[in-house]
Amino acid sequence: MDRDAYVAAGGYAEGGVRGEDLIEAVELAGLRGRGGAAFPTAVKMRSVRDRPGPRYLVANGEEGEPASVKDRWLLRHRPHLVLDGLLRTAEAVGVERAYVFVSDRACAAGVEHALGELVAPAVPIEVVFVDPTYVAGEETAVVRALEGGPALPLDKPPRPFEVGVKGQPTLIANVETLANVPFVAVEGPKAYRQVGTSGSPGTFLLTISGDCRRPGLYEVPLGIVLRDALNMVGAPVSEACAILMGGFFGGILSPRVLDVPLAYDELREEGSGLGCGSVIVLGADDCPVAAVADVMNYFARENANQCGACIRGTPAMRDAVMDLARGTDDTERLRRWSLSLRGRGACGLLDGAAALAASLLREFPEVVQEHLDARCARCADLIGPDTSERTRFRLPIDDPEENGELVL
Amino acid sequence: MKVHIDPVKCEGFGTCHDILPDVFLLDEWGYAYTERDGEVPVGQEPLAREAVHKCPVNAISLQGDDAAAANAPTSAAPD
Repeated sequence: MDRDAYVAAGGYAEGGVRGEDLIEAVELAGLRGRGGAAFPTAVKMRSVRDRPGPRYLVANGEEGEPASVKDRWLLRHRPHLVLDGLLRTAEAVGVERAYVFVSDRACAAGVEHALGELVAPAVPIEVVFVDPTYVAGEETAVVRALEGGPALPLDKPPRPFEVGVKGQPTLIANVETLANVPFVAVEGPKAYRQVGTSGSPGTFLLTISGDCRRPGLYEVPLGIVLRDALNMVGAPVSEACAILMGGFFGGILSPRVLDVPLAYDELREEGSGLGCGSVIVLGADDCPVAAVADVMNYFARENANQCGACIRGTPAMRDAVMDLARGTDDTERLRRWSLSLRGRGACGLLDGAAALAASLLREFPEVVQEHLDARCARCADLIGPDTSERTRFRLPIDDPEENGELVL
Repeated sequence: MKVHIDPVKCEGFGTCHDILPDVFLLDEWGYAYTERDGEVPVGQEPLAREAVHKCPVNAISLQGDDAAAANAPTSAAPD
């Protein structure tokens, strides 16, 4: 959607609250970060604005999750919606300069084109491209990359809102988060809260894939019941054997969660989380152990190779799950690591891996026992001999040179 | 007083564990970690400071009110 079309649809509206009023509106709207951490956006905005400048803003579109496509879709197809939110946020927080951080050529081209359509934006906006990796979108990795370093995470504190780009307070906001800001600014928090639940207001972009007839990207109300979301995409709900929730960060859940709303608090109570809003349905022919082996192998290869506990711990957990797939009992060590490795990495990858292991043991005790009793035929089929292969859950996005459309 | 280990810097020398094993634990691969949020028991603060200064890769820092002074390379902070 180009600038004219976006303006015709009501974009870049002159009205709408600004400055502290915008931050207050974002607070009342209950907007939380859509990059995965679900941190209250207004708190982050204030924490940067209240520190001495110069300040910086990063629209984070580095979508490392293999089963998520929302950020790239927004930047390819709705760049002005993101830029509208970026400009409003930049003004409210009082930043010197803003960056759009991407790892997808089509996104970079789409945003550059959109920037060319803007007449004298209030702050300079720069597109920064990095090679895609799983950890490159982590906030300290973003800052390092913007400083010319490797896109690898650092120990925290300090966090970028304290010490970010050029050592200055930096607001790093996911592009979907920013895409919500224009509506909040113009229509107000009350209108924003007309969809969603009181604890999880608004809509979110759901990337749904796996065993369903119509996988893809959907804008749905927060709080939609998982079963309804699966029915919407033609998933054989009664046959699902497991759900990978929140990209690779919400663990693997058993079908008992089918009636849980996709909302922040409700998923946290299940030991999970909405993460980046990605849901992978595992059907009757799949196996939770094989799925966890695949994702754990991905973690073992995609970790930043920086923190000892992660360098050692992710392959160790991968091997323990692979043992289980082959009928060898290594579950006690897996259980121990799933607890002891939490909080041991500079970024959240090791936490995600530990939570994944914990969820397998917690949600699927019978399945685990079956694997120990007799070798699982599905695991034998699903897990290839070569563990260097990429995750089978990565969603294909077609060559942007062809037509720029998502193929899911 | 609390101690914090930078997991990116820790290379598993184990020096901290040798100095203050109650606070600095080693995992099965030799990397250091803490429990109880890195809380240093009363009376063991001097050993915690020694661990900070003797870490070969500078991976340990003190957290809390006296952190800034104590983390300085040539700390003059009173014990």
